Amino acid sequence: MISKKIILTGSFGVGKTSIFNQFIFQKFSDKYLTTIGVKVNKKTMNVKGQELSLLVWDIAGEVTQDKVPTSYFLGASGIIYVMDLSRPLTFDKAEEDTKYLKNLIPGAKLKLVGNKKDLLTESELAETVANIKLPIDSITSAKTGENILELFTSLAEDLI
Amino acid sequence: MTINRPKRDWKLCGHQVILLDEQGRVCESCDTIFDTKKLISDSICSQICFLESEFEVILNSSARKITFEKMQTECNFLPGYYDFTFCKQEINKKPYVIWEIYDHTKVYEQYINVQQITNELDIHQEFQNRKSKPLFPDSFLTKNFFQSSYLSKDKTYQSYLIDDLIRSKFDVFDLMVEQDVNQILQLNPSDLKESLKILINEISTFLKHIKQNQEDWIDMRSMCQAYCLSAKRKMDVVFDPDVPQKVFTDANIIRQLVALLCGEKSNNLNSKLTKMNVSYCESILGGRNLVFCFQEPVDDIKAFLNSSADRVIKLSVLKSLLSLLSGTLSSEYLEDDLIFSVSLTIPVK
Ligand SMILES: Nc1nc2c(ncn2[C@@H]2O[C@H](COP(=O)(O)OP(=O)(O)OP(=O)(O)O)[C@@H](O)[C@H]2O)c(=O)[nH]1
Ligand SMILES: [Mg+2]
Repeated sequence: MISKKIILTGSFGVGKTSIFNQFIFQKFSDKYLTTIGVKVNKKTMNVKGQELSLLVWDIAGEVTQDKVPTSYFLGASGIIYVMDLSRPLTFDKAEEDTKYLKNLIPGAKLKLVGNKKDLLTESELAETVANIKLPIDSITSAKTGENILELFTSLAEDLI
Repeated sequence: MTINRPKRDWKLCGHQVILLDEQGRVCESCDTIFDTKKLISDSICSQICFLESEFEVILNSSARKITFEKMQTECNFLPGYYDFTFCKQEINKKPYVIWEIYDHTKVYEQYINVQQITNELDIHQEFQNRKSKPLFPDSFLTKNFFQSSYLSKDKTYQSYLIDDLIRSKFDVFDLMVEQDVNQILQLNPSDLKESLKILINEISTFLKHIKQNQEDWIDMRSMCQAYCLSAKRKMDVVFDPDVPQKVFTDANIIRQLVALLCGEKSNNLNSKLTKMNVSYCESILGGRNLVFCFQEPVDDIKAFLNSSADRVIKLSVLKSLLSLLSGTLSSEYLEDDLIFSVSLTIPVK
């Protein structure tokens, strides 16, 4: 079976661990418990008739991405960069961070994600998305599970 | 080649060395953290997601040694927080990987607490700043974020913080638990945040250094003086006469430790003199104990705790760092003096 390494990264508190837990275990908790370092888990998916094992790395959010040890990124095929739609500061850094990541892992496919959709009304969401300079690939809610599976499926499709 | 070499005297616990072949099969292990003989399959890679993901990359990397810090696994035989190093080595013209595991669970549990506080303080500040310039009229911003966390109630976050910090999150000393923590409320969050961020860096540096074995002769007296000077700390340092002029020990560790002890500075540095006494005694384990004893006059213990939450946290982190080296930290409050004793066994050659 083919396996692919996917990293979840982005500023602290944006919901990386929540997306990870929703995808792997279909669980969500309201409680914020910060992650240190890395936790890796895997899930097998069937993409376009092919079995694929996704090895997902939940990486601690750092204020500056260059503080994250580069060893975590080695060999990654996919990057999910998460922003918190309710905290503009978390999208301010996205441009710089994703540039850095693309440079560090040239071949990797990147998905830019706006999370915590459930906290915004439709008009707030529209206004927020308009404020983000980069094109967002996916708008998710780790809480309700909305678009989480779709996010990983579409990334997996890009990888095979 | 045998990996069952005696572990370094400094690290009496929490260090395992495993020799893996190219397929990830265990060739040798000193089984101090987990029993490799109980592994069910041939290759260890199929049992730890992290290795399944990374073993190939490690084998094919141009670097000889790769470090992964603060690792958590999904396996019940590695349930804590670890640092991993992988070192490629050729034996009889065949490639092998030496995997070293350092169990830093206790220290990293405190590291998480420190990071939790700094992150929450950052996010809290973010929301505070937004309030003056709201993007949306609705207060959806804070609605969900702080549930069950330190800052859960906007107005009383400081008491939550201190309460948790002193009562449970940090392994603080008896004397501090005796105090009525509810009265300790006026803490400057941004000062606390800054000093905790420095602490996070110090912990990382310390853990990096204890992995390097660099034994050397150390002149303890001049080293302590130098650190006090650079920390601009008024300190009266007294060495017992039987402490040798030079001790042969792991230079990196002792430097880190003295830097942590002497460089430590509370933000309301009290004008009175701190005394440090260094003595030397036989250890029950057969080596020698180097004992650092600090005596710090404190007029008002409540005022001290109030302004020195960072210091309290730092001491409690220091305690867990010391435990990695089988050292101890204890404290007592004696007639207006706060006394901290740090005891550390130094292997003598
Ligand atoms: N309402 C809502 N809350 C969310 C969502 N995703 C995450 N959260 C909450 O946001 C907080 C932070 O989530 P985490 O998943 O721990 O964030 P993280 O990015 O892993 O943070 P670090 O590990 O510190 O980098 C928690 O309180 C979660 O419950 C979401 O989609 N909706
Ligand atoms: Mg997390």
